[in-house]
Amino acid sequence: MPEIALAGNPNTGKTTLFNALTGSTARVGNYPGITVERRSGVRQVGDGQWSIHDLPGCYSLLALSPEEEIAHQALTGALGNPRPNAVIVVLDAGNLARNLLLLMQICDLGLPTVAALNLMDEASARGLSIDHEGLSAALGIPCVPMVARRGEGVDALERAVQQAMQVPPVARQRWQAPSPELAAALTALRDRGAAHGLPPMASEFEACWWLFSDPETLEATRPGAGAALVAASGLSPSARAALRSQATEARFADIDRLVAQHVSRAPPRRRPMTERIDSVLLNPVGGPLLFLLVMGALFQAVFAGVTPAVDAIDSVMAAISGQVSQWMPASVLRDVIVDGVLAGIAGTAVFVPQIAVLFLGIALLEDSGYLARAALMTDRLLGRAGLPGTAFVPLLSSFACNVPGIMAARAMPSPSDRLVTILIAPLMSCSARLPVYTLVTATVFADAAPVFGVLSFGGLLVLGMYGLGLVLALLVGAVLRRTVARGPRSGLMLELPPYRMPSARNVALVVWRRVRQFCLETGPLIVALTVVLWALMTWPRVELPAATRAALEADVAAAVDAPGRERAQVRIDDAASAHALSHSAAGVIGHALEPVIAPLGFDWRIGIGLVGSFAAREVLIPVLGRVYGRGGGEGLDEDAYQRQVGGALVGVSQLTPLVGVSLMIFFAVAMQCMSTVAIIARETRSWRWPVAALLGLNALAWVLAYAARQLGLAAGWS
Amino acid sequence: MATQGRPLCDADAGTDGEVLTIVGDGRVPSRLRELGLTPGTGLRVVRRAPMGGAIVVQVRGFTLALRRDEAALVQLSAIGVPALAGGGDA
Ligand SMILES: Nc1nc2c(ncn2[C@@H]2O[C@H](COP(=O)(O)OP(=O)(O)O)[C@@H](O)[C@H]2O)c(=O)[nH]1
Repeated sequence: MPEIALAGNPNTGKTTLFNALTGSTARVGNYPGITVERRSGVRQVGDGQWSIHDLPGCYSLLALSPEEEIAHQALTGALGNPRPNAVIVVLDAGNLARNLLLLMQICDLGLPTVAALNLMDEASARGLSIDHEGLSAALGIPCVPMVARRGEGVDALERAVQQAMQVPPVARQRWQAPSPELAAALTALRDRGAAHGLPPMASEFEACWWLFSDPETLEATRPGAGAALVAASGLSPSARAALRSQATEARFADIDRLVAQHVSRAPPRRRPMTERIDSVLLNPVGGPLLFLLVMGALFQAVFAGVTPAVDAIDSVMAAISGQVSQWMPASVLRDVIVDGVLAGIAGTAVFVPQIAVLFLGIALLEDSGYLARAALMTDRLLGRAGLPGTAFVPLLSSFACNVPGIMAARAMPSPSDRLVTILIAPLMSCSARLPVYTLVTATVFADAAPVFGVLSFGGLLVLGMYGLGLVLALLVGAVLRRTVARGPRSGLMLELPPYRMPSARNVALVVWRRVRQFCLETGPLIVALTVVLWALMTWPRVELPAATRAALEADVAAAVDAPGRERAQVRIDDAASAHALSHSAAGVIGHALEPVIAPLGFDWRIGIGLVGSFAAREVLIPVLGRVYGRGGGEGLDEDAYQRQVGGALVGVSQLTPLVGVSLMIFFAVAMQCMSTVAIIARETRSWRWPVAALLGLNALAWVLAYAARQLGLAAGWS
Repeated sequence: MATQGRPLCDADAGTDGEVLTIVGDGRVPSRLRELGLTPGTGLRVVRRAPMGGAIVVQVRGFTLALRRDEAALVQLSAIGVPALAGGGDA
């Protein structure tokens, strides 16, 4: 099956063309060893099929950034990538003066190449007319005018690619070094390269690629190559940069000539629409206000807008579990299926509405062109954590839920920025932490005197937890930047694309692919972790001691009426459940944790709560309820149940206001969530990062909760 | 390297100019050159973005936003009168 690569600058409609070519066959994978997405799909062509492979959008092939390095590898068949049989380069027809650089570099690789002059409709609307035949002749490759969004030109493109693969590329002048110094440097590099362990360079352009690549960027994917390059070239960084800029200037001189010959422009009639919109959306006053409005709406949609859908999923899953429990005879297998597997599937499904809504919002913002403006406006703010503005949406969505937030970090171009964002996202207080905060504040601060007479003390504390997470995220981000994700802050140099009407097809495909990928790839991990956690909380099964049971049964017998008997019966069940839980593996772990968490003021019961709430933080409440022998809250109104659990926390576990604060801090900082572990494992393609985040954040949480307690004790609180 | 031009970061919205040179040889200057900011290329400062003062320019038919420190690497020559039509309104 021929391999066709799709390359192009960002914002040229490459994704749109990819969708038009491959439809719903697209699959998202990863490049080997690196967390950059590799999208590929299949196109039916006549009797055969093409495998179409979308390269990361980039401005140049000379590796300054990992995306460019990957694009180059994929085109040259390096590092386990198949060498493509043909390349389609997507260009913005209205912007050839910039887009031609990448096309010309790719032509120099000598593969069958076809240029897709996309966005022809926009170019004509701007008064440009492009002599595509003249351009084809000058470049020696077919140039096909297209409007990918409307599917115009797709068939012509297909024919051009078919032909390009059959006939050898029209002989065109090979790239030649524009100056004798550069030619000498290239010859020297080609001669000495092998001795330093660099691969043979077949053409002058390939030598040029090596000479101009950034050694540090090379090291990331080909260890040793950067140092070898520096040694083999025998040139200082500034000498290499001077040659590089000479070559770039020569290239653009060619490009300017081509554009002057083949593009003509009628003077635009009026100020372009995009500029008029920007004067509102990037207005010094209106811009930030509208930004807050847009982001507020996105957050609200993910945070609260999905509640009906989540509730519906919960009740459907509960109905299914109920059916299965009735239908299967009571057995260990039934418990595994109902309490493990089905609970895990439900635990996966509840994320789907959030993911769908978030990516719907992101796709609309991105396709319309607003996301680039949002990244621009937040760039300075996030610069304090060493992050670019593109980290804003992932971090904001993490306040609703860390899982979709971490997924949203995929849109970040630089892998090291993305890693930092993923690792600090769990510090954003997600909505699952709110029930825990509320439990504590309602239990120990309900009667606290309002601050300044009006502000609820508990409310301020909760707000403080959000602030704590945010401040820590900036600090941890800055530390990670200096340690594991080192390197200069990536540049802004952001293209602001023209505003466009989002395309329904693009948006729908983004949402569909994200949801599908989450369910198929992260879902099984969540199910597996749910089963493990359930098993820990179930085995070994220890029955209530006979004497205790007998005493409780005597209560049933002694009850005077039917409701009394029922209450006594429930007490037996609750006691059995509490006994079983505290003797299960999770119970043993909870007991074993006690010496570790005692300095924070937590007893083993809270320890079991910490283990159980790993399923999802809000589960702390029913787990504690079971430990205290209050059951899981079945048939009780939420507030009443919370009061019962809170009462037991104070009565049995000696929760004081100070311990309450420690507990809140612990939950604000610790990564108490297996779905977050699963998504980090999936997104970073390793277990190293999720485990490091788990240990690191939980240790940090311990230290801060401890410090808070010591401070409080020193200040005379209890 | 000639640096008698005026750095782009000091230019006001509405300024028309030409790139004289890009200073430096790290990744950022190389990227700026590859985006087409080669000597002699015409450029217009469209506006300063809110919240942080990034500078938005129009160059080679597209709109590019640069941080202040990135814009400081671009030296402009032949600075023109602020354009009346289609200028920034900041
Ligand atoms: N008017 C017009 N818009 C297009 C065309 N192709 C893509 N678009 C729009 O251009 C924007 C960017 O497209 P996308 O495929 O995401 O670009 P990419 O960044 O290169 O992958 C989207 O809003 C598309 O709907 C086209 O031929 N004409």
